[in-house]
Amino acid sequence: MSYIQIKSVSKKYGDLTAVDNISFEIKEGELFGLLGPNGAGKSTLISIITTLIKPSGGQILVNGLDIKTKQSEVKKILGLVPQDIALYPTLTAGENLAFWGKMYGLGGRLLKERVKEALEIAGLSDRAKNRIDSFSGGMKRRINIAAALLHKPKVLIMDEPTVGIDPQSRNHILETVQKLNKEGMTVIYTSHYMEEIEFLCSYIGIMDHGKIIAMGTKEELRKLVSNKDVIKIKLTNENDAVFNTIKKLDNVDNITFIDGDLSINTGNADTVLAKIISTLENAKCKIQTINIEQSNLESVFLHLTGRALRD
Amino acid sequence: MNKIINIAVFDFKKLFRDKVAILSMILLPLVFTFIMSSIYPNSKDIQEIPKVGVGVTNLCSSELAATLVEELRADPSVYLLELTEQEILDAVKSSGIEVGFIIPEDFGQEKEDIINYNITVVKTPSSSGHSAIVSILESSFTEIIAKEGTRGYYKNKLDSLNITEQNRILFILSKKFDEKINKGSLVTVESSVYTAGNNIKKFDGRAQSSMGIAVMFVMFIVIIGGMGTILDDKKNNTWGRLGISPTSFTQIMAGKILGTFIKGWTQIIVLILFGKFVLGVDWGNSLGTSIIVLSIYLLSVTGIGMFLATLVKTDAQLGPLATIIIIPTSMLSGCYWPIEIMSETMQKIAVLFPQYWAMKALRSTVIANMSLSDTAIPLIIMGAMGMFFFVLSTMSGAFKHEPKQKRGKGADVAA
Amino acid sequence: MIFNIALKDLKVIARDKKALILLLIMPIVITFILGAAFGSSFSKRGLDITVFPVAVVDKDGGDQAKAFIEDFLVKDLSSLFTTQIATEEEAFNLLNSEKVSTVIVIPENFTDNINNGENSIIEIKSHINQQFNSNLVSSVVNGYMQKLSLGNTGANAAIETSQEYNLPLNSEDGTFEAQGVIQELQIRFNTDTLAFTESNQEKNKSISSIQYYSAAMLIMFLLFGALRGARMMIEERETRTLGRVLTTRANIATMVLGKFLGFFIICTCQALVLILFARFVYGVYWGSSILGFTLLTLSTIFAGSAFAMFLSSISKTSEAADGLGNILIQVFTVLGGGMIPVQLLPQFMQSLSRLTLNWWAMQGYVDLMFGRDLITILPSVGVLLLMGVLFLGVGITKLRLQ
Ligand SMILES: Nc1ncnc2c1ncn2[C@@H]1O[C@H](COP(=O)(O)OP(=O)(O)O)[C@@H](O)[C@H]1O
Ligand SMILES: [Mg+2]
Repeated sequence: MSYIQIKSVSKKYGDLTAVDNISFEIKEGELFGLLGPNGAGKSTLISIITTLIKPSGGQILVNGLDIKTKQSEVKKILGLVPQDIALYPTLTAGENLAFWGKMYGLGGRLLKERVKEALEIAGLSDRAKNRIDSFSGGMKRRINIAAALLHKPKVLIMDEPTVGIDPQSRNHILETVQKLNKEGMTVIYTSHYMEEIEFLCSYIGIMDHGKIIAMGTKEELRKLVSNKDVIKIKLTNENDAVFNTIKKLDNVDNITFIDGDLSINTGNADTVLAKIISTLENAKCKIQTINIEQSNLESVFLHLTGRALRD
Repeated sequence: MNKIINIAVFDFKKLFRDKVAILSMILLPLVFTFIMSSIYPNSKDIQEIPKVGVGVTNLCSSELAATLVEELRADPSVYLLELTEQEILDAVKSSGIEVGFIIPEDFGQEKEDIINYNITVVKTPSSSGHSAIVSILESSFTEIIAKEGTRGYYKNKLDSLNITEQNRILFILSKKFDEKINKGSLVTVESSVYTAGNNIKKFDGRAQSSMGIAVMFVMFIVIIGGMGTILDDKKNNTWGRLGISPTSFTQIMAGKILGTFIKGWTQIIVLILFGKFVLGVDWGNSLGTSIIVLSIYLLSVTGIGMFLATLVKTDAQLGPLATIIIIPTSMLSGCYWPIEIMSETMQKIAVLFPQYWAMKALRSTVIANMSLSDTAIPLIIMGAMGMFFFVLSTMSGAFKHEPKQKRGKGADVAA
Repeated sequence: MIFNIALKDLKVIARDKKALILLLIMPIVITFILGAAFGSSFSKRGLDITVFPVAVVDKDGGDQAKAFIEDFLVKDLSSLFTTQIATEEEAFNLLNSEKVSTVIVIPENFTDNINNGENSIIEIKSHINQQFNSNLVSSVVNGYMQKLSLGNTGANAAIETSQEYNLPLNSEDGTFEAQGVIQELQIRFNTDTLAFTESNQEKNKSISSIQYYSAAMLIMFLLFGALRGARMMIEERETRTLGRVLTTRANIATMVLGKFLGFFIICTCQALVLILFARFVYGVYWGSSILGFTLLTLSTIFAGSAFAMFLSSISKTSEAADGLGNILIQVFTVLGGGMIPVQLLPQFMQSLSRLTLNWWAMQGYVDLMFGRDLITILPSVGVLLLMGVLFLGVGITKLRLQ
């Protein structure tokens, strides 16, 4: 039943291992999320799946077809929304879509229909005759996605499709992805925004330094940190020494400090909180606010790597 | 095949979205052709010889000098002005006249056994028209000398025979001499270009210079407007997107080459039509062969363009690199002027450039109406050059579809 | 303030390696090629001509043809080309395969026709790729044939005159001796030749092609340098830093002048490098009037920078300015005598030349290279400054309206 099988795939760039012996499977109809910080190797992995990059080792099967030997069949099954907008700025939206449609072998009336459909999905039917370079970032992103849908791919792979856009376009995109998935399209969605992955995906892989460090449903992943809370403290001044003291407290698993925000993973917030506050006060750190949050993917990541998703 | 055509057609479309590109790739060569070919007389109206301004100061009162001036005045290509020495200097300096002559007071007089036939020439160092005028003077002079010589020889004979009436006889002699001269030279020399078929053809400067400009600008359009689109695709990330579409590398390259070809040919056709209908350039009778020559030239330049595209990262870098290569090599290859005016060494260097071979082959087909077999060598060499660079650039792996390597967190910052 | 803006631009351009290549290396290379290309036509094409092969077809076989081939082509001209006698078919095969550059065809009855005073035609066929060599052959053959014709014309005129008056001109058999006239004329043709000396005034100071093109390329690339500046200005407008600069205390005039000063300094540096390179590597003599030279160069730069300023004021995008500028600069250069001498162009185009700043600058440099003094170039300087003021004025006005 698994539609995509990834078997011990690696990619090395000189000394750097961008993808490190990864194996996992994706089922048909799944909305698979790949979560990881910048540089985790998500795009590299996706480029390997879409045959753009040859892996240093390993094998990938899509619908039972080896992507190495059955490249052109596999390419027809896949649709990629690349991380960077890949459109011709001087051509109109319609022309761009027509071009990419033809590159997937569409033509004639079918092509026209599909272009129309794709424009509707992107919500830009009225802008078909405008040049891409006159579009806003969000509109470009939407056409960027539409261009991947023309040939009705079995598998839609989206590489950070919401980077750098306005909330409106982002919502539009998220809704589109959900709708497509409901219609039966298998989707691989990568992002470093845990909210998006959490909102969208039924099955999630967390990636860091080229490795999948955790994989499962949302619930399964949460369980990894189920008995754990996150204490978020906003400080007005900082003091490195005190962070080390806090780290050594019982029940404190992990601690990060970014821009005055102190996040502490703990087994039990109630027992530790008092100690933390007093430690901070002793060190003359001024506390602005304190929040105690339930675990989420962010805390899963923090728990697993000791770092925040966004650095 | 559909995909190849698709790539080519859209590449062509994109070219027309860029007004500046259109200006510099279509309009600029037209202006250049216009200016450069205006140097040469129109092959259709050769009769209308442009007159060259010539200044003369005749300080000598001899008949010889006066005759010489009259001969010069009579020449159809000369517009003669009698000026003072100072006026000549000024006029030459301000380009009012092409060349000036100063005939000295003692012109034709004997001094220490040597007759002074010295004339002072005033011209700008860059003047090239003066040599034609000088040769008009020389041949007029020879004619005068011949007449004088005949007369002198005859007079000596008459003297030795003690014949009176000398003046009348000599007058008749001169009259007969002039009559014969007016009937035309006994022996005339007719030069023409050897052409296939038996039509006589003069060397056609306009055709040659129009060809040269076309050959040079085609290289621009092929390299910057054609192969530059690969870099453009890389910049737009569409190169990677092409790579994941079910289109093979061969198809993509074929599409790019076809697109380049269409652009190159569009430009050639515009230039040929402009030359033919506006400038009256005669493109010869071997049009079919010329088309083959130009097509193979396009291919070879495409190979070079591809190679250059592997050397740089962006098309903004390709422009200056291409300019730096195209202009000097085109000059050396004879696109601007006949290659023979350059030194031997320079001419030897020129064989390294495809423009040289294209010009060579085109001269044969356009001016000499030669056939395909006569241009075999240039064609083979151009083909080989193209192949060489094509293989070199595909082997370099610079056209792999790998996505750009990101630097830092650019995407995030934008958010 | 003005200075600050200029300084910033200088820093940006100094980092741009691509621009440095284009603005410094390119002119050096092109000057060299142009200089080398025309080197021979400015001085006399030297002795470096290699001897080339020529074929001659003798359809006549008479004495005149023999004399022409053996005495003239084979003997006298052996330093210019090698002559090979061939049948018509052989000769054209050789020509077709470019084994000979030229074929000379002597027609049937050549000797008889000359002796009888009838016309004949020598045909010279050249290979299309050997025009230069063929022209050489044509002109020497032409010279020979002119003298041959004139000799015989003289002889024929003499004979006819003698017959008319029944004059026994040869003391022995009483007929006129045609050979005598011909010989006499041949001697005179050899002794009496025109000599041309170049005018004293310029004789010692002729301009070499490398000199001429050093100046031409200096002007062209100064314009390119200024264009580069114009591009930066528009890029700034595009990225809206211009707006930001304007919200500070700077007003438009300060802004424009600051930019202008930036172009000016960039171009001056560029000019300095090119001038010194030409001076010390190519040995170019830029004239003796340092004051005149400096004045001319600065006014050229002034006009060029103002032109760039003007361009940037009329273009919307940096690409447009770049494209338009590229086109205009190249056209100006061709028209202004930067690629081919202006004198080669037809009259109406020569008048157009005077509208380009290239032409005026070129005139000034040529004057200086002739060793003339400051006064002679003042008209050029004046026109350049005037052009500069006009461009700058229009530029500022346009920017103000935006
Ligand atoms: N072409 C390349 N050459 C060298 N290193 C690369 C290349 N492409 C990506 N990398 C490196 O591989 C790592 C993974 O990159 P990427 O897959 O783009 O991460 P992500 O998409 O998760 O942000 C990064 O450290 C990146 O710098
Ligand atoms: Mg990525």
